[in-house]
Order: sequence, then structure tokens, then C-alpha cells
Amino acid sequence: MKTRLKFLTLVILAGSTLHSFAQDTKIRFFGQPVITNYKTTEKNQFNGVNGSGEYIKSDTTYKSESNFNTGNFVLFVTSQLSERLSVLGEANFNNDKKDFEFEMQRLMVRYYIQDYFSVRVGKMFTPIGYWNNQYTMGLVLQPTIQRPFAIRPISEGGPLQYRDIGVQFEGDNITNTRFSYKLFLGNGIGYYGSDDKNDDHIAVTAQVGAEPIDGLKILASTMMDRIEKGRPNPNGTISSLPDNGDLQLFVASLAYMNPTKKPEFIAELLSQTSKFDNLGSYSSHSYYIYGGYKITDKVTPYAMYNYTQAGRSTTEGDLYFAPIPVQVNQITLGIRYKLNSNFVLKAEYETETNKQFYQDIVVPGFGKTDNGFVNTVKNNRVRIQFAFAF
Amino acid sequence: MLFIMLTAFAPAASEIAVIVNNENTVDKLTPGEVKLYWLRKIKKRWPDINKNIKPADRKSKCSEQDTFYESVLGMSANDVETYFTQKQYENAEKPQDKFSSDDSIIDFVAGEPGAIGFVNVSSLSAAAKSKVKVVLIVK
Repeated sequence: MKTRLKFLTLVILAGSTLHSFAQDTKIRFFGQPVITNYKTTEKNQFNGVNGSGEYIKSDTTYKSESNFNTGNFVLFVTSQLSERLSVLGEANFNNDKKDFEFEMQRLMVRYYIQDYFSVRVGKMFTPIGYWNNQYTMGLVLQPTIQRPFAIRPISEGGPLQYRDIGVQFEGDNITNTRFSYKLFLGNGIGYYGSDDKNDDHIAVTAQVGAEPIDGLKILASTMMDRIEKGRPNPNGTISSLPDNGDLQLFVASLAYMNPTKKPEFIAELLSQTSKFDNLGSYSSHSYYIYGGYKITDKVTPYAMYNYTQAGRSTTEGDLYFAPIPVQVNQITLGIRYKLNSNFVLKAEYETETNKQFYQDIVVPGFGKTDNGFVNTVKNNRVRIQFAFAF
Repeated sequence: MLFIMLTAFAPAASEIAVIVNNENTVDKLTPGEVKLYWLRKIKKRWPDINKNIKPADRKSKCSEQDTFYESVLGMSANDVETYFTQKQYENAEKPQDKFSSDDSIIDFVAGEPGAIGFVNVSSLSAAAKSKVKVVLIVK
């Protein structure tokens, strides 16, 4: 089925280029170099278990020199192929790491049928929550330097399947409440942008929302997919899932981002449940709250709090997300200077505490050989980002 | 005396006309309706003629643009740019077309059934008035 979806995508992408219409192509580039300085301290770093069944631990500190990073450089192209047909391509170039990376972020065709109904086919952002579809790579639009931890993509260590290949049916501005809907059928969990997952399950992502007043958006999104034994989970914390099961992600979003008003607010709650066929049900959740206030047309101080918990408690992990219970607390304070719509300077201080709860070691026949402990990693980061578009 | 000198040299606020194509069945629009159509906020296509709404803008800052942004849209130039960039980024929607003069806007609106733009009232000569339809005057 997934192969058929990819084929359909290719056919429509190819077909879209055959239209004889005065194309109107717009090309933009997004760039976002960053200067970063960080300090990391780690207490009780887990180094293994010795022959007596005791934990081996150590404390460490890492510090960085200030470093300049080119960040992502994004080529963004849209073209109106006909009255109702438009295409969008978004390619990301990055040399953050040792090797230069190129990734096709999006490549899609949108067919506008009427005000309440249009179809997209291709690679696109999944309709999960608010942030994911609003900002992502166009960081000149994004209110912070980095997206919240809860909704970071796999490539940044997060759990979210933030883009996928498939087909999406959508409509917006329905009735006075400006009701909107999106229904996306795609490859789903485990799709990395290659053919390394070729199972026969289609993931279904649905979103409904309303914008009762300008800039105020209320959204509910859900994604359902089948997960397979032996497959890795998307963020790589589990290389081989222990059982087949069903995975469901629910996201509730509330945002007030009106460019003509001073206050800014975004809050999203994510809850993920994996129901394994034989091993029970596990869950993780995360939320973030962002608030900003435009003190002038150009200057906006802001703050964000982000909490993530993998597992229901500090003693029960999540067999899908992270077998060792994890809690992440993150506070970001920043200021944004918008010179104009094409250049935004952001400066941020971020403090993050990441706790992993290792449980008591119990050896059958010997009983408990060591007490559990908490591995605590504290990160303090200062970042300055120059986000621009041209 | 100083007041008289300052006011004499202060740029006069432009009286602008919002224009649409002659094929468009719309005759009059309120500033609120112009805002919704020009920003393609609710509707993406004109209801009767079933054509894409194509907003026309000025390329550079000018008094006509200032009047339109301030009196009709209630937005700053940065807000307008960010709005269209966001729409383009999110939905592959085409941003507004930009022109360097009123005459170019009149020609564009005359040639595109779905176009809507704004020009200085003084630019609407008799010939220009025959090519486009005025749906709103803003002082």
C-alpha cells in the first residue's frame, strides 16, 4: 500500500508539470546561522553494570567554546501551475555536522477544488498540532530559535514524525468559526525518507480546528499507526521493538498569534499511547507553553516552558518511546528583534534538566544487588540566531 | 509660521481607489470586505466569476500603499509581508503581485479577471476608468 502511495505521488508530481499555463514561480531562500555556547554537567552518568550486579557511574562536565554554525539553508520554491494547481518544493542544505547534508523537506502538489476542499499529494508536514505546520524550516517566521523539545523532529532527537509522504484532504474557513479539517494518509512511523520501512500499514492523521477570532486557533490532532516487532522507533532510543502494536498520538493545541496584536501565546499538549498486542499499554506525554509580548513593532521578549515525560511514572518506562523513564524540563528565555519581515535576530538562554530513572537491580536468586539511581544531565545554553529570507 | 511651513511640505495622504476587473460582478465593497478579499483570508476565489483572487500591491513604499495598509488592512508593511510569506510557506499560496506604478496595477487588473488592487484616484484617467471597476474609495 505504501509503495502504491509513493507511485501515486510520483505520477501526480510528473503530471503536474505537463500543464501548459503561464507559470508563476516564486523562489525564496531561508537562512539561519546560529552562535551557540553551552555547558553540560552530568551527575551519575551510567557506564554499565559490574560483575557484582552494581551500577558503574561517574560525574562529568562538558563546556563548549562559542561556535558559529551555519544552520540550515533552505531553498523554497512555489509555483502556480494553473488556477487551481500549485506546487511547493523545499530543500534543506546543512553542514552542522562533519558531513554536508541535503534533504528534501517537502515536495508536493496542491489541487484547490473549492474553498472548503483541496487535496495535497507528495511529501509534506504531517498535520500534527500547530507549530509543525506553521514554522518548521522557515525560521524567520518561527518565534523561537529552536522548536519546542516535544515536537522536535527525529533529526533533532525528538519523537515527532513531522513530515511524511502521502495524500492530504483539507478545507478551512468553514462557517463563521472558520472551522478547518485535514485528513492525511501516509507512510507513518518509521519512515525516514528512504525505503527502509516498507510495511503494509498506512498511518492516518487527522486534525480539526477553528479560528473563532483572528489569530486564535484551537486544534485537535491525532495520528494512528501500526508498529511492528523488530522495527526501530523513530528517535532511535529503541532499535528493535519487542512486539507488534497500535500507536496513537493525540495533540491539543491553542494558539493566539496575531501579527497586529501585542500578546503571543502557544500551548500544545501531546499524549502518546502504544498498545502492544501481548505486552500491555504504555504512554508518554509532553507539553509546552510559549508566551511573548511585543513591546514595540520590532522587539518581542518571550519565554517558553517545556515538559516531557517518557513513561507513566518514574518507575515505569515506555516500551515504545524510552524503556528507562525520562523527565525533561526546559525553560527558555529570549528576545526577538524583527528588523523587517525578512530579517529577525533572536537571542536565547535555555536551561534544561534531563533525568533518567534507573531502577533497582534485582538478580533472580540473589535478590536486589544495587539501588536504582537518577542520572541527571543539566544543560545551559546561550544562542543567537540570525534568521533571514530573501 | 513654522507650522505652516511644516504642513506645506508634509506629504499629503493619498486618496486611493480599490479597483477590480470589469468582468467581476462585485460593484461595491466595504473596507472590511476588501481586507478579506485582498488578503485571501476567507475566500481564495471570487464567488460569481469563479476565478482566483489576485491581490496587486506596490513594489516599494509609497503614500498609496501606506493609506491602503493603514486604512483598509490595519497592518504594517512588515505584517503584510509576513502574512503572505506565512501563507506561501504553509499552503503553497501565491503571494501578492507587486508593481512599480499605478499604471502597471491598472493594466494588471484590466487583464486579470480575479485581480484586485489599489491606485491613487488621480491615476484613474477616463481611459483607465473604462478598463477597471472602482469598488471603494478611501481617503
